[in-house]
Amino acid sequence: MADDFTAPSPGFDHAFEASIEREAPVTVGAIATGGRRIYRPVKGGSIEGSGFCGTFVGGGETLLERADGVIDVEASYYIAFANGAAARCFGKGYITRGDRFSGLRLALLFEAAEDGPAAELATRAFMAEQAQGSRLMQIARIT
Amino acid sequence: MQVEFAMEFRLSLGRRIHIELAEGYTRGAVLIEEGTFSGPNIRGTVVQKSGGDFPMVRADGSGRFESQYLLETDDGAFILKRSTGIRHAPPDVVEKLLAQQPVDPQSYYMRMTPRFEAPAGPHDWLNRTLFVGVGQRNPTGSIFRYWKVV
Repeated sequence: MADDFTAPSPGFDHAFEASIEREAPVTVGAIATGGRRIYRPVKGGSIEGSGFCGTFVGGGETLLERADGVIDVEASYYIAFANGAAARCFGKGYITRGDRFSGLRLALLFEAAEDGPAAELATRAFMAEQAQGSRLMQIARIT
Repeated sequence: MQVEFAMEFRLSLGRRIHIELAEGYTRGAVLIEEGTFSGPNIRGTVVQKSGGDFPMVRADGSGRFESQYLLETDDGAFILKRSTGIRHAPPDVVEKLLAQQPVDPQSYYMRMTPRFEAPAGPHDWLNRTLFVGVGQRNPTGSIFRYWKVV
């Protein structure tokens, strides 16, 4: 590769630890475009880190169980922070089973009021991971 | 989580279109003229006229990226690439970026998380892997490097 690429290599800084409580899934079933559609509503949970502390107040995860065994995930979580700010955390990812990792991984962005205390969250990209069997999701800021 | 280098893209950019949606909100369209990509066990070209980047850019220059285009690997596979991302920079850096002037890549935050749809076969690992990307603009186009999350 040419050496004219001088942008920084990415990494991860731990940002949040979240515990998401999910309702019983709603199964739509096998759909015409392929796969099995399932929805998991969020009923609560907590998130803490980066000077924030909050609770999950809504949203959910839309899943598509694919023929290759991978589950596509589209997540949209609504969070109320203790400092009065609210945010939507959203993104896409996969649930996979593999030798190196089994569980849920999501690429996430935040939306927050520009004049509010959570505005900074909307200026960075994040990556989340919840290992199979763990109740905790670790959310890292992509550096 | 850690990252491992996956591939590098080199794109030359064509026509730029701006749609003024509202005061301070512009939908851009940056069409890709041509491009190449390469990484361990994968290389190929961007299919011409198959897409581009369609960023939502704010008056302060910050923005969200949404790109979509097709890839053709050297071994004959077509792959759909979609990506979302974010850019945030100090105002003076944004001014230079918008004017297509050279800027220090370390002076702004630009990250993207691409997704791929590949046919079953040697490249189907792309269908179950998350990636983190970093971009750099140069005088003739853009360079992107992607790392897989492992």
